[in-house]
Amino acid sequence: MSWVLWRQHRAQGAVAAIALAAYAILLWITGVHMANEFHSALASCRTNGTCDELNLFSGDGAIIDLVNLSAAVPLLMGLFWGVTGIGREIDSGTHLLVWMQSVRRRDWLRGKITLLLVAAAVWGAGVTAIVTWWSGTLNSLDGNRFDPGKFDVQGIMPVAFALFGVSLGLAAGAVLRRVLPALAVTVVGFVAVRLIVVTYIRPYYQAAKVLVQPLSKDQSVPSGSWIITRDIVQNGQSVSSKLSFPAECLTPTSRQASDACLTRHGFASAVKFQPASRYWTFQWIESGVFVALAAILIAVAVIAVRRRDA
Amino acid sequence: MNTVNTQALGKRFKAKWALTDCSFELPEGKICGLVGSNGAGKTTLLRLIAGLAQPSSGTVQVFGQPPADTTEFLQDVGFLAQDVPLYKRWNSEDHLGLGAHLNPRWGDSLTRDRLRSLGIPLDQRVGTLSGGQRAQVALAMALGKRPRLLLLDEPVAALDPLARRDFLGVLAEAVAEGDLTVILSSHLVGDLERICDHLVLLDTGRLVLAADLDDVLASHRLLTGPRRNTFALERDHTVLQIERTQRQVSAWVRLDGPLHDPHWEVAELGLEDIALAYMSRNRTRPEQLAATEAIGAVR
Amino acid sequence: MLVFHLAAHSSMPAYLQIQEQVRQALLTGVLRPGDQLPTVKEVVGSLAINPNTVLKAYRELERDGLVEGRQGVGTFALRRPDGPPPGEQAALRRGLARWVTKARGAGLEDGDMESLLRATLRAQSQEEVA
Repeated sequence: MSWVLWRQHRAQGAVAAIALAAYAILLWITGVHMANEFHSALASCRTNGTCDELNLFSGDGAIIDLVNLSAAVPLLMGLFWGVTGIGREIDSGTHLLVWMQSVRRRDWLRGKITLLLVAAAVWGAGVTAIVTWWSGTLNSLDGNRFDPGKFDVQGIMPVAFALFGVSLGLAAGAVLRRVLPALAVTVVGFVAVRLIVVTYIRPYYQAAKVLVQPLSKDQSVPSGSWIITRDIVQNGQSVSSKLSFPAECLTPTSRQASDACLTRHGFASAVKFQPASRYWTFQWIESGVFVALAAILIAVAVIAVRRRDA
Repeated sequence: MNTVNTQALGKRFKAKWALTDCSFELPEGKICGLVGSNGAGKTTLLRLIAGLAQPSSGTVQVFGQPPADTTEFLQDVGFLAQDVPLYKRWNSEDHLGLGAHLNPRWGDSLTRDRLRSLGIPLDQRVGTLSGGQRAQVALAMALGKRPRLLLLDEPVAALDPLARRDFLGVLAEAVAEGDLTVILSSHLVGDLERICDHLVLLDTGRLVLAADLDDVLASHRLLTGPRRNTFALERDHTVLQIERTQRQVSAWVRLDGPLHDPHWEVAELGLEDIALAYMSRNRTRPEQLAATEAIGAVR
Repeated sequence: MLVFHLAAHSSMPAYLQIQEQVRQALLTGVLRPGDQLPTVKEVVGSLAINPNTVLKAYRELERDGLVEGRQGVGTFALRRPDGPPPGEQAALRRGLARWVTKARGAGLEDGDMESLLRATLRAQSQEEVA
């Protein structure tokens, strides 16, 4: 069985290995360069006192885009490895060849799924190791690692997403039994689930902290925090619209006068945020969510293959 | 022991029954022809025997056990599907490797020799071989695992006559070596007449005939004679089809005993005509069919 | 090496055709006593017919004492069947070939010729009985 799996997937494995190696080299070179640039800029700005106005890496847009695009890698794994793993086998009819050899269907299935999930985890880990290392410099500049562009491609998220993407491809192929519909379902499913989780679920893994401050021009939150909402409250109650502002505070002589007036009436700013210290907690919680989803999808794929007629 | 045994086997897809009430036994060592027009249920029956589909009603046993996802069953039963599935990007050598690694009873040198003697290059991609060569590679794969029962779904339908002869020749040789039973489906009756010694005829999802081929050819006759009533004939024998013209009556019958009436002119029937007669009986006048069967039961 | 041919639409069953061809081969001397007949495997491989057909033919020949089957080795010719010497057999065969050419020229098909032969044989054997 392992010989067959190797023979079937060796081309895909080679392509992925070369791509990963090329990516690693590219990011290593640029990463080292960016780190050097950062350190020398930091050294010089300390002498000048201009560290608050650092403006670096504006010309590195392309490489930064390439790093952001690594968020698509789990989806690509789902399409190229997951859907072809079972879906293409059934679509092309070769399942009738391989399921009528002497190896049991359940053993074939177990071998395929194990290989593809392990490969997904390994490649995902490889990509995230490279990207997380490379991102060290940018993270120092802008400490908010919760930004989706960063949260999704650093830490352990890429491994969980890879497992999810491949499981989705396997399940879509096993249920739909045709490659094109399975590809479509995998793309739509992956994007939809990720969007829903990022927008509606991720902010609420733990109850957000609230910082109430007087209204002023500068709203500061602890550095590296992820700001969920900014609100205006009156005496602790959330304010529905600006209509409830007393008229006298809206005749602006200056912004500061307006703010001081509102403050006398009990208005304040309330910022809901997740502190930077919760970064790893959130990574583990969301990884758990996606690994659980992957497990459900694998169960669906197994049932679809074993229970239905060939 | 019978290789295959079905009792009231049926298979339904949504509302439509593709196979109904199919019961027959197949002894060992036979080359059984599974005959019927397209949509008669041949592929469905083969898939049920191979364990690739589950019955909706009735049972099927292969070597005494229902088909199962076990190594014992899978080793014993080979299946060659209709479109000759192979990995088009692989060459024959790769396919031999697949066979060797997935089958404990694989006969490697035997299979290699077979392909070599047919002149099939082992290092050429299977997708670029001719239809006949692809069929031979698939057959070699199916035989290479040394099954005791081999099921073939219309394997020669798309082949030219020479490729067809070569394919069936390899199959016959494998049976001659012993310990192999074959079920071979086709809608071309002529192919099967030479190579089969057992016959199963399906029509519109029903089993119409299951018998030894020599017995079938020996017992079915076309009787022609001047126009008269056929009561005696229908009482003593199984009449499949009757055609009456102004002057003449023709009857396709299975003789269930000696023919006493000397006025009938008797002619032998080829397999194709016998199959057609059974199919026409299956599709028309089911009440008459029941009446004829009732007479047979009384007798 | 003896090679068998089967007539495509003959009413003569395959096993009988094989039997006849073995008989002919023995009569004309193509097959001599002690020679090995083609194995069942060889015959079915080239003709794509059922092995039982060949087995039946060889069994009948063995029953007639013309061949002998040796377990694990093969089937071997034993003796020449009763009939005219090879030369005369060959001459008879040539005469028949000439008749066939004539009949074909007159428009007879293979089936017609077979029917004619059978009818003639029947008529003659009835004559002998009478």
